Amino acid sequence: MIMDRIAKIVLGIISYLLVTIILLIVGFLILSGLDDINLEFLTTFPKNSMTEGGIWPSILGTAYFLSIALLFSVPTGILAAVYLSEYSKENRLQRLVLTANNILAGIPSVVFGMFGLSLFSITFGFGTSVIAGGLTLGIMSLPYIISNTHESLVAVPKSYREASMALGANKSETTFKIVIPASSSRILTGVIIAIGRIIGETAPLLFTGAAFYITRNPSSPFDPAMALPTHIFVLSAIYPDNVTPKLEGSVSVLLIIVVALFMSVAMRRRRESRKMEG
Amino acid sequence: MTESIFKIKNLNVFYGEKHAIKEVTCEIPQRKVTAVVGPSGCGKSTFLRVLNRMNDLIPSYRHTGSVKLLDDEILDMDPVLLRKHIGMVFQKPNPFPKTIQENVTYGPRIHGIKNRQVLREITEKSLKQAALWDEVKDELKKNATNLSGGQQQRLCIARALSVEPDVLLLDEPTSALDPIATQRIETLIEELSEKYTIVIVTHNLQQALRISDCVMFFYVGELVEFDTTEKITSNPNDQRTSDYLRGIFS
Repeated sequence: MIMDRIAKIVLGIISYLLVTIILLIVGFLILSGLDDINLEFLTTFPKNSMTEGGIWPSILGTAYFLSIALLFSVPTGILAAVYLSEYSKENRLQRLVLTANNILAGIPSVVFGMFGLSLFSITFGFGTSVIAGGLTLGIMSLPYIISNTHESLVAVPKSYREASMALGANKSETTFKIVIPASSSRILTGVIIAIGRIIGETAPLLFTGAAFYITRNPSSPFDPAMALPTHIFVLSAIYPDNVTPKLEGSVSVLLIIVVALFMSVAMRRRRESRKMEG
Repeated sequence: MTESIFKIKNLNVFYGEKHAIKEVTCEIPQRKVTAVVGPSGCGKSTFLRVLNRMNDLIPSYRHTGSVKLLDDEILDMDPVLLRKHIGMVFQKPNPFPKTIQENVTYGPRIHGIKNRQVLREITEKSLKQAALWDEVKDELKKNATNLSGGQQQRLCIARALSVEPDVLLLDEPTSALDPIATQRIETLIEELSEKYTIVIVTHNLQQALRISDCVMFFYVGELVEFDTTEKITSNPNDQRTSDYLRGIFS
């Protein structure tokens, strides 16, 4: 009895402490940059060696990198997961692929950066560009999208598949008209989490796609671009203190985007679990 | 004597090494209700799933002997075509998480019907046949998972009827329903038996006796007795059948 009560109190303190720390960090970082954010900051180019002006090219660049990454990883990842859950036999090869996928998800992003540099920038000759950086981020998010989609598909009740087959549907019709739509909400949740991760990634872009400073937005996918996280890295690592307001503003913008994404995920999850109950 | 729709000869079913159904030979009459009864694990659901080849989905499954739908050996038929002729309703109501209308039109759509007017007519006809139309006609665009369990099961029957099958296989269709919903389904089965051949697996012996014309009694993979419901209840041939009827094992 007493042990239970102690355990409850100790565990409770730890978890509330954790939440408080997270709220403090995120809250502090967002608030400290909030007064540096205004329309001009969001919509203009950096000026005067980045000590003045805004972060417009970084926001746009992040959107470009993200688009290329998703264009690659979402279709590829979903189709791979569909194969693994619906078509492949449950054998050693399938387990091997799933295990390899999980290992891939645990590889540090800087390694993906090196990989992208060697494959896309050098071997394919894309150089430092939106496409090289986007594809690198795409590859990095692929294992996550595969494993999340696979889990979502496996969670679709067998009875849906049986009902579809019993009506004379074949495997592909059952998969694409019943199973995928039934899990689409969960698959989408996974994609949003992947977006949150891609947006914050710095290391892969430093190798493959990030420009230090540009004065014109990229005109094609083969041009380099700025990105929010790499911009933050550049400002904090390379510049002396005179860019602090710009740095704080950039951090704040990035965090607001990421927090908004994860909050939307939390809301979707709540809605889903309520739908399951009702 | 009515014509038989299924002619089954020396049917044996195996799951890997397990011999699930042994040497079953029988003929299932057309446009009658045939109830398949027996204690748990006797192979009655397996038998039902032989008829529309749903067992094919299980990798270790195989069967020997002959199962003919009218004059065609089912193993030689395209399973997609076979299942168009044979509708199935499952133990737990399993409507797709789509609208009521989409549930009913899914089958016709995959069989190539695209005309909206035709699909609407099919929806109305199938839901009327399943005695659900009056309850849902104003909410066809609502999600089917919001219906009650009994309504969901009638929707599943409507969905099975939408592709105009000849046979309806029902796998313990009322075991997850309350008594009132069960009664509605039983009434429905009687109505449907005028047009369709119905094979129903049931755990509920009283139900089998109420609604069926013939009864198949399975015991440990063997077809012990198959006769008219009247004959089975009044004067079963086999001791095991009469034991089962008296509730000695269930």
